[in-house]
Amino acid sequence: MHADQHDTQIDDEALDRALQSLPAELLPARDLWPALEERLVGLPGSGGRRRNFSQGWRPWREWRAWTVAAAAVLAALWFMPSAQSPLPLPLPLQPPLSQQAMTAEMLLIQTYEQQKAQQLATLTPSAAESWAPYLGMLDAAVAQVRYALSFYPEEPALLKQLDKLYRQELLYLQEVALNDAIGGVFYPGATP
Amino acid sequence: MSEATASLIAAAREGDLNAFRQLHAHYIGRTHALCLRLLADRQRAEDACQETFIKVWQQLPEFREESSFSTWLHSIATRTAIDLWRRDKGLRLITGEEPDDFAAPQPAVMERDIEQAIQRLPAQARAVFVLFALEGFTHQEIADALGIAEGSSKAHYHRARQLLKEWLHAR
Repeated sequence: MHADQHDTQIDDEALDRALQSLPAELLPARDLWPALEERLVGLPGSGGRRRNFSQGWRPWREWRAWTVAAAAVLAALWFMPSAQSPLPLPLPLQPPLSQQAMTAEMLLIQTYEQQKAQQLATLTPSAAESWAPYLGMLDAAVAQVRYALSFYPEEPALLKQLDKLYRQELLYLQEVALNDAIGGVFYPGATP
Repeated sequence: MSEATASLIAAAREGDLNAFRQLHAHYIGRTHALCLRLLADRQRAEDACQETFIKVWQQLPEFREESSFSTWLHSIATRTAIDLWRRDKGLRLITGEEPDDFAAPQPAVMERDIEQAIQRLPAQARAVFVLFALEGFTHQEIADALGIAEGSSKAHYHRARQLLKEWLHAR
């Protein structure tokens, strides 16, 4: 047997031994359960069929989530300039479709744009001039974030910001729909 | 499947989060090991674990008790991790982050750990190696899962072994 072959055999054996020594389990560096539990509580599926109120479902968490979301919208409305600008701001360049494939960004967009379209379909077109400028601002912000994502794909902070903006849009449209239904007009930033 | 596990599954199926938490605690180590080895990124591995257990929670009503819960959960984890890997593959192609060469650490500074060495393998070679050598997939199954040719799977496996042996030899 040549020395090279002998070395190769030794290396193969050493590698196989090393592989056999690998642990079957590797715990994550942090406890993943709390974050998972938060996500499971609002989900349909196994738990959604019949919640265990005494041990699992915590209504205050849902209220807290809604409170936080509402506060975010109020904060956004407070800091936004008044809705005087014309309808949708020009959108920056979008990344090519080929670059959008199979990204978290696309998943977010698909999910939220569908919901947004459904909500928009319920609104009275005649009231559009009251809500469209603000929606246009949020759309422009979404486009800016997507533009940034074209340079930094999958950047968690940008994806989080995109998610936040879409949530703001949906919450805003819910408010508009509510006011629409009761005959009022919802102006962002208006004093209650 | 032990009686205790069966009763936890039954309770979780009825929406008992506390039972599901115990199942999570029992299986998270195995799930995380697979995800971390395949994705070689702590955050991505944690994401894959979360997605896995969400799917398990949602699909529990479909779980047939005559099969092994561990195997069923592991197959969901594998598919989830592979989906993430494939999504990352698209990004790697865009950003050109797939290295051609194994970034072999120098013996003096590297962490002498086969676990680390596997995670330093190029993405394709790593995925094939983990699925073939550690998870028991065939090359045909790997080819189907990763969207590559069977011959490529074999070549990546061979390359991964060579790189790991070079690393071991250099120790």
